[in-house]
Amino acid sequence: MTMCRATPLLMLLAASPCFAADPPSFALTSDTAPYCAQLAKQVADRHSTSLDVQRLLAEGRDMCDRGQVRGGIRRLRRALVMLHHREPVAQ
Amino acid sequence: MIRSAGLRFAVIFGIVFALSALALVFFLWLSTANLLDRQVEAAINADAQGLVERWSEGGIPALLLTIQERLGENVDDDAIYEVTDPAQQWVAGNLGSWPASVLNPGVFYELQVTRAGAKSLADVRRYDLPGGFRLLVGRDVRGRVELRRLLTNALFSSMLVIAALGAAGAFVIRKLFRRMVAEVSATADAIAGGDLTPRVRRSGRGDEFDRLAESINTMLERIAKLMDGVRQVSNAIAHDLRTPITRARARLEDAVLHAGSESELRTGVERAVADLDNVTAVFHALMRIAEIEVGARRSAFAEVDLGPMLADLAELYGAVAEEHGLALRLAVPDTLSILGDRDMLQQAVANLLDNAIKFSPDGGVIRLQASRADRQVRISVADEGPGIPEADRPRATERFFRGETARSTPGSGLGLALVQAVAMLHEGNLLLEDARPGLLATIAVPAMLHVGHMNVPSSGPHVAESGTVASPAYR
Repeated sequence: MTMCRATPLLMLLAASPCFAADPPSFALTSDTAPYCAQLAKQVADRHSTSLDVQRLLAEGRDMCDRGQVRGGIRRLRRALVMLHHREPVAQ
Repeated sequence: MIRSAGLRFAVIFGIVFALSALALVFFLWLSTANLLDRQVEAAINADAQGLVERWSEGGIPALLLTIQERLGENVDDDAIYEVTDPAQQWVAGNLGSWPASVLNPGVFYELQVTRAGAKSLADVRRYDLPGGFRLLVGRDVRGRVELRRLLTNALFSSMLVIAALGAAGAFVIRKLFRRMVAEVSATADAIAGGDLTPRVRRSGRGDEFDRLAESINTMLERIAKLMDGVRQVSNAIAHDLRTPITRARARLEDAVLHAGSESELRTGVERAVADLDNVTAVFHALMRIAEIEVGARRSAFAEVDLGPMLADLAELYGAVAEEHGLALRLAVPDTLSILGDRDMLQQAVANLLDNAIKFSPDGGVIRLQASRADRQVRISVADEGPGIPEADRPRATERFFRGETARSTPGSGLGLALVQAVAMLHEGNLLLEDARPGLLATIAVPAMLHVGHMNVPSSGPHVAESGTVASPAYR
């Protein structure tokens, strides 16, 4: 955990108190298998007829199932972006 | 090596080069790093502004939906969001818990985050929403960190290149400096060894080294000329003074041995004294020339109006000219000012007039003129005598030089040398030309710039009436 932001000069000199101790790390939940499943559900729920979307959904699910979570999430996100541009979600 | 000026210059060059180059590289590094920071901050602020607007439009459900959408479409996989309720419990976002360090809104914090097991850095900012809700928006900056690392590595790598280039440049500078100094040093060594003929070679590029070589060569020319002058003067003194001294001795000896009466003895002694007076006058003239050449009198320079001064001289020498059956004509402006030494200038012109009278044939006309042209004032004396042959003119201003035509007339050969010395004291020169017939001697000196144009009398020249010679003159 840091209380400040390292300036470029301090980073260069590596003398910043920000680097004095190993700070705690906060885990992001958007790189996990449950999130992958959640994204896959979001895509699937849109019932898109687009072949590209369906292909990306299949590839994403498959990769997440094989443990390649980040790759799977990336494909599912691309599918969502495509859906957003073709079929905007009603706000 | 430590005492080598070349090495010192080389080191200074190397240091200056390295510092300049490093300053440039560091500036580029800093600018790039700052630009990346600003871009991330701008992205976070824009993102947060959009979210706050959604909150304003649809409250917490709209905000949560938007965050879900943005996370879902975050192909770059760099967005970080978190929303907590008034009880500070997680409501939405991809950050597991609220970082305790992110206390104040409006401040950017740097967090270490773990993304799929890999550690990374993120910039985050807190925004407080109405009703006690808190929003955290951030960006993963691992790309920026990586770029910064690359730049830092490039910075250190460039240091090595800069050091190498600086060292190479320093080596070249040292070689150049040593080559130039070696040339000057070799010339100086040769001259110190007694040979005054070597000169510093010029590269022909017209650069500072060439100008230095030119200055040194000019100095050497001057030294050689002075040495020649000293040698010549020593010889001339030995040669020219031997005759009058020998003559004085002979007169004294003759008076002592053969004088039949006191009056004869007195006459002999008086003749010897006259001879010795001539010797003294020569020494006096030599010392005066030396004094002028040293330039010490320049500190006493003042504005001199040549008009009245030359008129006075014409009046004095007019009488002498008349005695010799000559006419002296004067053509000078009413006022003609220069910065100089009045006594010295008077002496110089007197010398020229004395020579003109001495060498003019009966019935001849001597012209004393002065004028200003451009930035020069020219005082000239023209006679109708035999003049000085062109071949002798360059040497005519040397001490004790006496041309063929002057051998038969009395004089010491110092008159023109003194005139030349006076002209040079005034940063001018003495010009000797053919007056067809006769000699035209001109003293050309710089004019005073603030003095206006002079009134040259249109009524024609006037002739000096009478007067006496103010001081001795020599040719």
